[in-house]
Amino acid sequence: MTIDPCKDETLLSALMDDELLPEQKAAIRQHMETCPVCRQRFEALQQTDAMINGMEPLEPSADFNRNFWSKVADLENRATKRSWLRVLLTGWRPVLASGMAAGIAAVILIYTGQGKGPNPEEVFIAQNMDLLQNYDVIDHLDMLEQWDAIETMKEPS
Amino acid sequence: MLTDPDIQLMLNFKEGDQRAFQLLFDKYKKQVINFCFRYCGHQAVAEELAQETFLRVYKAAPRYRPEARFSTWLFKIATNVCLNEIRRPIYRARLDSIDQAPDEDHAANPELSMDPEQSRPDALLEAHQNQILIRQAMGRLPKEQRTALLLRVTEGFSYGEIGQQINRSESHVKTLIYRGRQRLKKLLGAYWRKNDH
Repeated sequence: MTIDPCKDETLLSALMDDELLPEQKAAIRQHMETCPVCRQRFEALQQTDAMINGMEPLEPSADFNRNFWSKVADLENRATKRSWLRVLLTGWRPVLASGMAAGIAAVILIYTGQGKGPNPEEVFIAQNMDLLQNYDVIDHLDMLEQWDAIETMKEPS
Repeated sequence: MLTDPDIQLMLNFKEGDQRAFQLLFDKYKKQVINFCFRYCGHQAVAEELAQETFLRVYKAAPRYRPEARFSTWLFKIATNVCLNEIRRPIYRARLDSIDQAPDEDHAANPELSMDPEQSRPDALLEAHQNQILIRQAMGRLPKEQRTALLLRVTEGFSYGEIGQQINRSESHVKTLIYRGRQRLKKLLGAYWRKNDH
């Protein structure tokens, strides 16, 4: 790779910034000895940096520190308030969670009809379990269906 | 990087040592104020930006991981704070109004006033005008060129470090710095010619 600052002026800038390999630096310096154009460009770049560095430096104002630490104090206060809020919220979290679970369960029960009380048919079955377990009766269910008619019949005297 | 004592201070602060942060603040405050001042051209704004930079450092402490020199990280934050500032619409109006010397309570470089040549009224006026000219020219550089140039010329970061700070490759940084110098030279044409005599 040839090092030619006439073609690539960024090399002069990089030389100023000490961002080149030793052999690149040597090649450019050698080139500048015989190239007044590159030498002039290099000096111009150096003058630009001198101008930037010539900008008057500021001293921090008298209240710079006080203003900054006051901002830090505000930040800490806000952080403390937030942490109290977090403690409150996290402390109530189990209570909130169990309340919500109970609420959800109640809603499910209401909508599925589980909360309306026992079905009358089921009550009838439970109350007549003995009767229903009597297989003779089960075998003669058709007779039971006509029970009213049978009951009105008079037994032969 | 691991030998950077400022990293250890920041890690100590992360562990709760407030004094470590105080040391970092005292060490870097003037440098950060001046970086912000050169970036935005207004001293009061520069102080606000510097404070915002240190507040971000303070807030970032719990998440801090030493991936570069402390100053590289600090000036990356300062750069972001300055970039946010110049995106604000008020910035352009401020830039056009750069015509004042630093406030009296912000002492300028005392060496300038010690120089008998600089103490002459016409020399003082000229020096003052030159300062305004340079600040205005700096304010008119494209933001990436200005950032790279300041990080290199006034803060002395390498191209690699600047690349980390502005998320660009080293070769891109090299071009930005070169173009920044060229453009600044053009913007300062009048000053340049006058000082050639």
